[in-house]
Amino acid sequence: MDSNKCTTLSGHTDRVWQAQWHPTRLSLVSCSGDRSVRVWNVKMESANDQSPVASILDAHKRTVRAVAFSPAGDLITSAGFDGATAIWEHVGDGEYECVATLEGHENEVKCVAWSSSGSLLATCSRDKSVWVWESLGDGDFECIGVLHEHSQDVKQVVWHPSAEVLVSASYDDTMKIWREKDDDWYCSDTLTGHSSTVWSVDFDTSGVYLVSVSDDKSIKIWQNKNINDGFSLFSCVATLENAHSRAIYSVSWSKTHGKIATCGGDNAIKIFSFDPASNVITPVHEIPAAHGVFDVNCVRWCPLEQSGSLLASSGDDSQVKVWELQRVCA
Amino acid sequence: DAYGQSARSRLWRMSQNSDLSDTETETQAQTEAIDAGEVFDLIRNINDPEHPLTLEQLHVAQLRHITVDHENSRISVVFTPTIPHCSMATLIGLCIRVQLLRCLPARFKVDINVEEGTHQSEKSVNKQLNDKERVAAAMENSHLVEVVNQCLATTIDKIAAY
Repeated sequence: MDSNKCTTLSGHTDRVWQAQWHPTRLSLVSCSGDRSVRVWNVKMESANDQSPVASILDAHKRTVRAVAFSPAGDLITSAGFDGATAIWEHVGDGEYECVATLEGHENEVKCVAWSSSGSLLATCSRDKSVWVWESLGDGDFECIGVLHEHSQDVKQVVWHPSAEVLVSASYDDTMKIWREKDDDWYCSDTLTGHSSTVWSVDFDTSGVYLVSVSDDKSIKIWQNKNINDGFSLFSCVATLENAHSRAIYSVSWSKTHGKIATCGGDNAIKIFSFDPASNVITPVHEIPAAHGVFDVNCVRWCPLEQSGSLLASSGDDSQVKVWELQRVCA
Repeated sequence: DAYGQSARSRLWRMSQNSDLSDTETETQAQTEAIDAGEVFDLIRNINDPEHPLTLEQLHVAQLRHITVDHENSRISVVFTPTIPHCSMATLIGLCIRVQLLRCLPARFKVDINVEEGTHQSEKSVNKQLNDKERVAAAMENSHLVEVVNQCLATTIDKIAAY
């Protein structure tokens, strides 16, 4: 196996739940059980243990479960176990200011996601609901949909890469597809097949395929050839059982080279390819003990074309790592 | 946290029976083989949330229901609720999980499950106890932490007394 070139970003003092790339720069934002949000500039050539360029300490009153840069890269959103979603604006000199707080969920907010245009935001919670918010500019957000069809916690929300179609993944073992019609958001499809919690989902670059990973240790690929038609349903076209030996917590489908990265409770990061002609998922690379003896909670491919082989991961060891996987992605 | 540190240092003092510094003890504990008996010692004296008895006395925790896969750093603990509709099953499981999180080296992956056929909500109790996000959220609920700490309170003293 290749030796994996990696740089380590240290600063969090508790489990790092998520690390997400900036849309146009080699920067990451991460969040942790230490209640902070941190921003990093990634320099692959420099030594390990790079420090954050900005830290929002006490961003939330409890664990910060999820973060995201806005598509324009000027805002950061964070979702906390304190039930709040916060919007942060860079005000210079590594300082971020909270410009809005979205309240409404009854308890832990587990994920926050921007639509590709930046005009919509989705949040989901242990309260079983998914909320859709419209950005009105100047830090104003209006809730335009409260969606109550999952029967258990909603773990993650992800937008389609181009259309205003949302997918949610839940502790109720299903995923749901959400669409808008005449100003009403509704569930157009429920994807069943996993036998336990669906932790994470991601679209491929075309938005025709969706990948899901679960506590049941499997990876599934779903296809919808006509996503813009509200009556067209997803079907499961491939399943890889026992892809990891414990729960799979995160999946990222590269928009630049098409490889799928996963990670989980078995401490491993794995890379897969999917062949749409044969509907086969093939393992292509593995990084065992990516964060030592600790769970790996999140993987994210870099969205920049020229740096698409960089993979960010975050773990229970309080660290964020960036892996250079050029040979795997070629 | 302070409670966890105290629990850990006492466990290691117990298992090492020496006056090594904390870091040396920690390094040894990372590589030392931990067996089912030691895991049982950590949970046998957890107080039942409803009765003035321990999990061992109520046969909720039993040595024969603990397995340790040392090579793969995996531990499985199966516990037996006293009655099939025990409303405290999730709390008991959480106490076991918290105690093991605080006391065992981080390399161990711990699965906690209700003994098959002994609880009417077996599947949902198991799912909740093995969802790391649910457990993390529970441990930020100060009321719940207080209840868990009460169940674990005398455990530490009893471990130290061995």
